[in-house]
Amino acid sequence: MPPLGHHLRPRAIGLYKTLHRLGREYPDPNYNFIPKLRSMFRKNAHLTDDKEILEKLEIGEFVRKETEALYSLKKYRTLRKRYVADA
Amino acid sequence: MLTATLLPGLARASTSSVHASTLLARRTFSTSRVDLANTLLFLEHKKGAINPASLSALTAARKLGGEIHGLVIGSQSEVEQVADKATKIPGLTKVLYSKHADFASLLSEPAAPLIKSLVDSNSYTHVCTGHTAVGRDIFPRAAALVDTSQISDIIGLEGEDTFVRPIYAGNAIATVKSSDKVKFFTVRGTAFDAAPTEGGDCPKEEVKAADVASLTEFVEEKVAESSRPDLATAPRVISGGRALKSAENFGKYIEPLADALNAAVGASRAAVDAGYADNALQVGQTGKIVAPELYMAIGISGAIQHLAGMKDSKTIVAINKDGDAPIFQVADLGLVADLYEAVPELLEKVKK
Repeated sequence: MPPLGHHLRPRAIGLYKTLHRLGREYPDPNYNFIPKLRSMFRKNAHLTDDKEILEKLEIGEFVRKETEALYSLKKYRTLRKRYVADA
Repeated sequence: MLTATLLPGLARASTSSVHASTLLARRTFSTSRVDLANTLLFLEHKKGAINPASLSALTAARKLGGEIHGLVIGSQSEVEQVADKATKIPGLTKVLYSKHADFASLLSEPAAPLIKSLVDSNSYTHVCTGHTAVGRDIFPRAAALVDTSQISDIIGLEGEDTFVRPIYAGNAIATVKSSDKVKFFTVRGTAFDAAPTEGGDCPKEEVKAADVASLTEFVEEKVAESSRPDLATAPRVISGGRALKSAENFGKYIEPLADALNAAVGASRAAVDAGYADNALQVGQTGKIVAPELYMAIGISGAIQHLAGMKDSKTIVAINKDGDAPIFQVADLGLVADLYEAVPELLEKVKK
């Protein structure tokens, strides 16, 4: 996360919170989503250059979208298995 | 190429409102009555065989009831033979056929005006075909000529004017009610059973081709010939991904396994873009949408666009080296292993 006072810090914190909330419900409990999330953010915490930070935020957004889509797909398959005969 | 060919079709669409008003005067019955449906089914064929997606479209059209006329177009030499085959399909009440040299490759430019003239003269209420490359090419143009909006890739029918179709890459299902007088729709092949091809008997009738100068010329079609089942309808599909690293490996690992299981071969977008597999094999949002009994994803990590193309599969099996790959969250059976070891071993056991 960018240092205190940096103008991108709130955005990074927001993304972290969103991913943290998402990660609690990851289908596979052994996946360690949150420890992974934490280490990834820690690894990039020292960045101060806007361009570099935005790049990382972009990746984080991508992970968020993919994870959300993955959840809806998992849900789709689970519901389909339960309610659609012969599916 | 698409934008270039679309332009003349749109220009012609502006004149069709005149025909639409005469059509209205002639058809005074209530359009909500299903028994008065009058459907034109475009039958796609290739090398004398009728495309299974067109047969699925027939199953969908039969739900509407009423008359169903099949339309076969083609070159002088083959069209009669295909029309004869079409008369044997139960469910059709008449087969219309038209021959012209321009029809040989089922291009949209000559075909669309013919559909329009048939809709005008026979006052069809519905026009449909399978959602295939040909259907996707001809139908938008024909629909524009008739001045109606097409409903693509339907997976269900709820009455004569209400259609069910997936949107947002299948993440949501939309129920669409059409207020057009003529409903143009294309049917997803996997959503309806293919109609049988034997047992029916109906008359055939020749219609004259509309005289339209073809602006495009058919150069060639490159099709990867294979004896394997068709990807879109196969009960088993083996897909390979980026992890295969080369086209040779694709041939060495994926294809023998597909042959042993009598399965179709698919590929992820990453594999297609890297040139490991043919474009026609791509499974996913922009490629083919499959719903087999068994889907094996080998060396595919599972980008969401790929998963969207196979989410209706009954059983999904994944083989991937990376245990964290998202495909394992969707797969019913997962194997975390190097595909270069796992696939030959699997092949050996399958052969036994």
